[in-house]
Amino acid sequence: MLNPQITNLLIMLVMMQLARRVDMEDETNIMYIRTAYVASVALSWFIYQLARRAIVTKNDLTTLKYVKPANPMKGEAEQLEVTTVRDYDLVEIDGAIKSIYTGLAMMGFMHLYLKYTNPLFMQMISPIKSALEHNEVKIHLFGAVPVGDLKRPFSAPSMFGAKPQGPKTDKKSVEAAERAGQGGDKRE
Amino acid sequence: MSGLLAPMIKLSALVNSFNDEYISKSYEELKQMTLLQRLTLYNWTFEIGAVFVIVMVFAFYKLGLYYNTRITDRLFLQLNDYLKNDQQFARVGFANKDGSKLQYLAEKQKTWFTTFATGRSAIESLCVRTHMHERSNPAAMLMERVLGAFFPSLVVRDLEEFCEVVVKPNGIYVANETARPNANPSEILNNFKFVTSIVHKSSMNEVRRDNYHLSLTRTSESAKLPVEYVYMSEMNQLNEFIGHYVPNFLEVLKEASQILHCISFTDLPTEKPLTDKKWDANLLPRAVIRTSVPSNEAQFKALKSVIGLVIAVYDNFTKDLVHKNPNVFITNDLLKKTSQLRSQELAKIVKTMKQVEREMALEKKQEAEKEKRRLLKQSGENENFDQKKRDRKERRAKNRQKVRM
Repeated sequence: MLNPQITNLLIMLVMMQLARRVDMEDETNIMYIRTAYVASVALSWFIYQLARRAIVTKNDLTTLKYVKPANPMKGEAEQLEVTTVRDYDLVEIDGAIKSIYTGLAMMGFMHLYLKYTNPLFMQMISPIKSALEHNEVKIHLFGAVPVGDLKRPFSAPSMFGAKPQGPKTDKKSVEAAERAGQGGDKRE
Repeated sequence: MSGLLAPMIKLSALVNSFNDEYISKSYEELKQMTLLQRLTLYNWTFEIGAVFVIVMVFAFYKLGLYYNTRITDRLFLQLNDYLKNDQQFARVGFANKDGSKLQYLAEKQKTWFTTFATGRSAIESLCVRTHMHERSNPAAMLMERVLGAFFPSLVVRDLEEFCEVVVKPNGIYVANETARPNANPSEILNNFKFVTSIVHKSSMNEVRRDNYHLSLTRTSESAKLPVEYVYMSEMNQLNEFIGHYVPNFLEVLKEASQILHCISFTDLPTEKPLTDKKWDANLLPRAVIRTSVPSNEAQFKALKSVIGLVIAVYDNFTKDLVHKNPNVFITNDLLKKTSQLRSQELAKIVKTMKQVEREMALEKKQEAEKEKRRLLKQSGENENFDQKKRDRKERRAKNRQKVRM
């Protein structure tokens, strides 16, 4: 199975070639592209909502502990996260739903305000593809077992087969972070 | 850029166009008209719109204040009544200068509310603080929400609504009104130096992030607890502390599962101390209850039960200590272990403090050197020094060339 990032790249290349053959000035074509894009976004939103409902219904309150890697961009050190499977899944799925809204806002600006149709055409497939490839959708809608790549907390897949960088879950790291006394930092 | 501003320019042109007719009149023409004629000629749409917006802002302001006060009135009246009559606190609430009674204090546009109770066996004081949204300013509230959704790091602590109850023990046990209090309260309070909590699973991350004392604990699930809760204690042996003193605590936890975030018995500070002085100054035995703001009768009752639970724990624990009950839960061995953790934490703080001091001293030294150099340059002495340096470099370069040749 190909890496999702590689397939995204391939789809992008194919869509670029197709976009050159479609008349983007034709009003009828624009209407078809708009319809296809909106349908794709609506369907992916619907898929995420179904997964969300499944998460809430399951209400899995198993405790999940892991150490979130440091984020030098935000000046954050390694941090312990203590949550439940339900809350972790909800954060993941809500993040995906939020990314749909962000994408919609960007596409809306580019298409309605700047009058570009190309980005709309390029983005016709990726929302559904992302939704179907989302780990939470695989677990809660397709019944995949949460082991291997689907084991929580998820690691971001690496593009060229390198070891994925993700949260630490080993007992030693978790215990060290648990007693580190990082809480209660005064925030102004 | 002009494209981005186009809608604004259009709107401004539209507003200006309301009074095209009025503006087209010359000064002399307007002067000849009566006041009424001028008033009727002028298009007041924009002004009416502005007044409408002001009225709406005022209405929202009043409604917001009313909503917050309505909830807190009910909450604090019930709580004060409970503390006074059921829990036998001698003093509850505040008094105005004229002697009239004040049930609670409201601060910061009625977003922070406080009540206080004192004068009771085993409890020095009980303080209830509630934070509510600034409903009187819905625009700011909405903006905070939107910003928080897209930039979570910008969200300030205490933005959410919550109710926090802090119960401080006094180490004095008085069995009845005629009994004499024990004479060794500070000795008794030495036994309150430990951290144990019961935390709702939906708040685990938040409470660990916001409370230093909880970020030193281990999180552990237990079959003895309802599935929504976990223990957070500095040692697993402390997990049974609450259950030991109030066996029916499970019922209380179940009843309060809608609102309860955590019940924590601690002596360590909430805010991370950065110096040993702050560490010493903030060591204070207390119990902290954090909940959502209760909004209906069942939730008011649940909050009262949780407060009752904490007071009962302090009552029974203090009684055990005063009566030197051999079955007291907190043994000397446990206290030795907790004291060890405190020493380790204090050592860590002192180490970090010294490191910071060293870095600051180094920085200061570098600054002083820079300043000295700048002064030398100003006085011209540095030029000689620089010239010597340049000569030395040139000589070295020449020598190197000679060697190569």
